[in-house]
Amino acid sequence: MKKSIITGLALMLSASLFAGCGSSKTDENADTGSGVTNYSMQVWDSSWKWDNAINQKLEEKTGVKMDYIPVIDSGSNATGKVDVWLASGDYPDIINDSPLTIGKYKDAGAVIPLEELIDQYGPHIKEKFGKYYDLLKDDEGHIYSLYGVNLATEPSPDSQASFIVQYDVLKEAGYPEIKTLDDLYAVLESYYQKHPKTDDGKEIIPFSGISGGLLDINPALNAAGLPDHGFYEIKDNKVNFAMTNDYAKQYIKFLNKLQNTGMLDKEVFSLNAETEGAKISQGRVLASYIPGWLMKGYEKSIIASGQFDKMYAKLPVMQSAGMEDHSNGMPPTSSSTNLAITTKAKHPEKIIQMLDYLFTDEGQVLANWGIEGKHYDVVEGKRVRNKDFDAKLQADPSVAVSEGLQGPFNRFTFGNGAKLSDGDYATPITKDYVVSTYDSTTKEVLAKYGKQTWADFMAKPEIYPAMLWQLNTPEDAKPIAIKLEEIWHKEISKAILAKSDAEFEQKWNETVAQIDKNGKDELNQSMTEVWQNFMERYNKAVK
Amino acid sequence: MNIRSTLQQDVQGQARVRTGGKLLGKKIKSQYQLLLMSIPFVIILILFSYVPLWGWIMAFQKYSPGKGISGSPFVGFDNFIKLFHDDRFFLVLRNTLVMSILSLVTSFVGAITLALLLNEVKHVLFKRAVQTITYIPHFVSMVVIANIVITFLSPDGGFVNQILMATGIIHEPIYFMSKGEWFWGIHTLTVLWKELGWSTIIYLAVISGLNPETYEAAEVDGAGRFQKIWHISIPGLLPTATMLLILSLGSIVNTGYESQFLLGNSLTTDFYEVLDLYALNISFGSGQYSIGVALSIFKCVVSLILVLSVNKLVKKAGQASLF
Repeated sequence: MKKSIITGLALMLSASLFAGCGSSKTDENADTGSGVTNYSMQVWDSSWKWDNAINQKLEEKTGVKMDYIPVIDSGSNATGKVDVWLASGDYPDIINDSPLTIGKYKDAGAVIPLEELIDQYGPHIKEKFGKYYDLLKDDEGHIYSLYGVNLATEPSPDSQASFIVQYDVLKEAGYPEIKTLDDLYAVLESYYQKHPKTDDGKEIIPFSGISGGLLDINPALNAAGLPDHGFYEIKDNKVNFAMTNDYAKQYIKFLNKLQNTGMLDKEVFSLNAETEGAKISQGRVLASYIPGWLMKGYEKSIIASGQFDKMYAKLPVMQSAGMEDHSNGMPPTSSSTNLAITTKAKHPEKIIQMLDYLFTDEGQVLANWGIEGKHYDVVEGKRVRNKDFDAKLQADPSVAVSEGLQGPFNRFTFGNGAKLSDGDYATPITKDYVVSTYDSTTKEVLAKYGKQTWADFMAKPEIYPAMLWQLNTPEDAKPIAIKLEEIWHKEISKAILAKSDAEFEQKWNETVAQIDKNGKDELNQSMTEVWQNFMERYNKAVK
Repeated sequence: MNIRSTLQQDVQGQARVRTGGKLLGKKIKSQYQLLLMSIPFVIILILFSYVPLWGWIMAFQKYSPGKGISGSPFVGFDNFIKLFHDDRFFLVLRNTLVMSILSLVTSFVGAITLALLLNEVKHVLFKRAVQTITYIPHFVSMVVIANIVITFLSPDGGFVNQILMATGIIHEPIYFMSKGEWFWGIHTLTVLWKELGWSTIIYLAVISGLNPETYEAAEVDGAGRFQKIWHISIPGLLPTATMLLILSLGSIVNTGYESQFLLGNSLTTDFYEVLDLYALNISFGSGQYSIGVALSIFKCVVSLILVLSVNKLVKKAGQASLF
């Protein structure tokens, strides 16, 4: 009796092992009867949910419902999960990823060409892309992925420069113009001499930063007035690794000077976005380089503590007075995380029809403004955000996610400042709206400089055919790029900590030598090829 | 206790099968329930440890996920050559071995010492308290532990720096985490702190399982506290310690990477990067999966050689060995 129980148990255990291996997935694109089709879709933020008012309306209009599959590390770095999907053949109906990953899927025949479907079902996509439509096509004339088109001609009113300076510092110095790194250094130094500690006795940190690219790559190129092509510059149609140039050296020298006068954060190489955010919220940091998407989060906590004079001005700072600022580049498309339809999707035309809806004026209003009466009202023929909803949004920005105003379909927006055919704005982010979100201290500071928004400080936007990071990094060049970046951070940190000018020179030269030795030329060549191929296509497409 | 006894039973069981070859059939018949019960586990082992080995083919290919293993071209030993020609590889190998050995030694010495000390404590509440406090960090995520360490050692108002400054030992705060040469020490201490209590548990169990009569007899013979530790507790611990040593040598190149990655920064890269982190960067960072697999084959070979040779040495020395 006992034996037979044991035997049975053993057999059951063995059987259960195999049960787990079987595939039980059926009817992925099940028609739920009411004409709604379900599709599985990769998304890059786990807080997004399909279940909200705006998406429900979208479902009603287009008969398409998405099941989100979050892959948090998608994008340029950890492509692991998406690669595993491809290798196992078990990918979702729709993937949203970098051109490099979509290229891999294309090579494996896992994504379908869309041009014929768009011809048939996507008249608005074609119309809105207009002269840029052919940019969607690859060398053979196929379209494998879709993204948004930028129809705005002015900078987004909520954009801002990335060098930040505390209001208190500006006030103390009498609101001077801060145009160059030297100007910045001077105001920081004089403030720091008078106030080495905060009111509650903590040490002031004149200049801090987040370790990595935001410390030693982006600000260096930004201060040199270069558009954001990653760590490259493009000159005469040639791509060059930018960090070994003199302007990069000048910026590193600036950090070195701060370090030697004790004005650079003592643990700047250990700081990440969270720890830096904590220091900023405590009001201890006088200046730094923080892009807007991070800064908005930090400022919420400063506002919450009510220390408005510890907020930050966002100023474009240049290396020297004569330099031209070309850092505000605007590409015509929003290609970066792009949408592709895989061979798993049944009735791909329904997806195209849904995307086409997003390219209509009605679809833009739904995706950007929301639902009339709930998220926006029409006042004197103009759309304005609903007062109650705006109050909720200001108190808690995550409301935008839970209501569906932020999600994977935002990237099909025409851009802040673009206008629809009814003459009104496509998105709620207008200049008036942005000004209305500022507190009174911010308005005061802006008034001292005769400006209305932080976007007003920025250089005139210039249309670039594309940013280099939007293009596909070849599989062979990627390892070199990653290696050079690692070497750069490692070696340049030593230069920043150099105790004397001679030591700085020596460390700088070592860095350059290391970069040269580890495939800089090869990388330049490879990326130049990518760029020139793209430009050829661009020139052919955009006439 | 459990591990030790099952291992010993295993060893004895094997010995029995070996000596009684003719009786094998009979043995199987009488033990068939046990054999049947082990089938699921053998299947799990085959499924998760042997079946995935076919992926090793990737090491000899220029693998790309799009083409798959069947479609990627073969390149012979190119990936291994590339790997061994990378200067970084040897640096990383050095870091791995140094940090592993440091952690191995400190955790062995630390755990055994703490176990012996705790065993001598007769105050039950104090003993329990110390035990609990020392093993709590094991359950805390490495992310939290690393942040605690970095905050403690921070030159910007960190606890350690404040104490050193207050006592006048230093005048300028030290940026501990920026010193490459110190990284190994900091890392070893961090890991020791996190795992010490946990690894003590097994030794405490072994000591409490030792026959109390031996202690009593020793006491009658006039042995003092240290003599009892030296002549009874330590020899009693030795078989378990040897077994654990052999097992942990197998993972000397499998250090994991969380602790190094979380404690390191751009100034200490040359000292913190370990094989696992290197493999991760090379596979998922830059997409060179083939080199990643080549590296893991290398790691397997090294581990196998280490375990087999140490096992042989131990056997020669007359201690309990694995097989």
